Amino acid sequence: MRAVLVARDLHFRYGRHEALRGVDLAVRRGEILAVVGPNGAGKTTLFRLLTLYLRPQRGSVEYFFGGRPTPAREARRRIAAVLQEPSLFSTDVFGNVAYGLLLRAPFGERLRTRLSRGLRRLGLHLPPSPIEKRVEVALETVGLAGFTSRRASSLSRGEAQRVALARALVLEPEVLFLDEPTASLDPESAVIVERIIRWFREDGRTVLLTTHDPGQARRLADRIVRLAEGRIVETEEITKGEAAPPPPAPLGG
Amino acid sequence: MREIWGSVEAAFSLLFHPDRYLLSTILVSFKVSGIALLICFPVSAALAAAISLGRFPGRGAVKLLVRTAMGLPSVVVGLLVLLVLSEAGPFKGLLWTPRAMVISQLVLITPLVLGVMISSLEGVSRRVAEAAHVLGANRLQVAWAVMREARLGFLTAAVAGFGRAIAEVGSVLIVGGNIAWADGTSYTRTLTTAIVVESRKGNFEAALAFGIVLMVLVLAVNLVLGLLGRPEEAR
Repeated sequence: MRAVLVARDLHFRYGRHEALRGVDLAVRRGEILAVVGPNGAGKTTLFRLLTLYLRPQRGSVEYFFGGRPTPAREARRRIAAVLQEPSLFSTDVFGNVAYGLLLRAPFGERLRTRLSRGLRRLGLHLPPSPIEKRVEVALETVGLAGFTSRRASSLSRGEAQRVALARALVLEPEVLFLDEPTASLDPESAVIVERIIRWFREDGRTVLLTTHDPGQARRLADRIVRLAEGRIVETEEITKGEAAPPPPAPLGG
Repeated sequence: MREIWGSVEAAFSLLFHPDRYLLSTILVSFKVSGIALLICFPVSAALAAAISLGRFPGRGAVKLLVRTAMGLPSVVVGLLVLLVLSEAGPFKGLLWTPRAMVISQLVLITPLVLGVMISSLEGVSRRVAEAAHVLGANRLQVAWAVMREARLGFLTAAVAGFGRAIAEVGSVLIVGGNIAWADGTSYTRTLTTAIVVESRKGNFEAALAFGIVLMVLVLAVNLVLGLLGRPEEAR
């Protein structure tokens, strides 16, 4: 077993409320791990610690990319998360999906993309920049091709959640976190999201998700971890009827 | 009533045929308030981001201090700046110059601009910061993302700051000295202090004319800023 992420003895409290009290968890490379549990069990807090948004008050979170301990700064560029609320930036869909790419891009590419987007608004079409192409592909993947110029505020809840997914997918993260990815989604969007999660794993990537839906956890996950009152109370391996998943293959280079 | 109408007429004829006195007074008003805002805005934006997004002890106290200072009486500010500028030291020689007025305007509007910016940043959902973070943004990039969400509030801060500065009398009168040269060119006389002077002299028409000019110009500035700040959906 090759762990990509190891959490040891995680503790976290908000004021007097103890959200996590000693969680140990090793996430294997290429697995889908579902974290289930009642509201207030600490699922979202666990995700905030694992995505390095919050620092544990006790314990540690360590990433191992390429088998070596990876510094937090580098690890943050190789993971991505979709929050429970879409939390889109108040700009257009393109600006949302391109956000992480633009953060990582060198100045010249950022400038070229902004120029191309600006001219497009005036009706002038330059050949799309690499970032524009990747955004378009990510939007196609989530079933929102052609949505680039829509305002984030004009989207339905399901569309917004899928844009939030696209802006994480476009980064091709090695570990993807999804906090209640299909809660309050219409059935059609939920099916698309589940398909993407499977496709993502088949690509050798790791997915962590929280869910309220036991059926979804069983459908998707290789392993289910049950959280209650800030502790892991049960771990269950799911053996699928089919053969082992195909060997990992890199996604688009 | 007739007096008021006469003054309104006089005001508009002045607006369309401005003399050197009016033009130089407008210029001093805009220059002093504009420079104060230009200095205040970026400094306040950085401070507001640090105060509302940073985690340090005493944050609550700092915010309370800023909110209290938002209502600073301008004559008190003028008096304090006068006392500082009168001391021997680095500020020697600045008293009764436009620079002194810029300094007092800065002291006056920074808490207001800062306070409005802090409120607008705190109105942005914490989730936006988290979303930026989990997409790989570092602290500065997270702060920038949150500031972009608060851009309308920042515009409001600029409008409020400029409005307070240009409409302000007490402190610019004290530290500027309300000076106009003999040829009718204003040095440290602003539209507001001109109103004080003209009404003291009994020139109510001229005073009212200055008041109308002031309001028309503030309206024009607000229209321009309002166009900039329209939500993008409406463009």
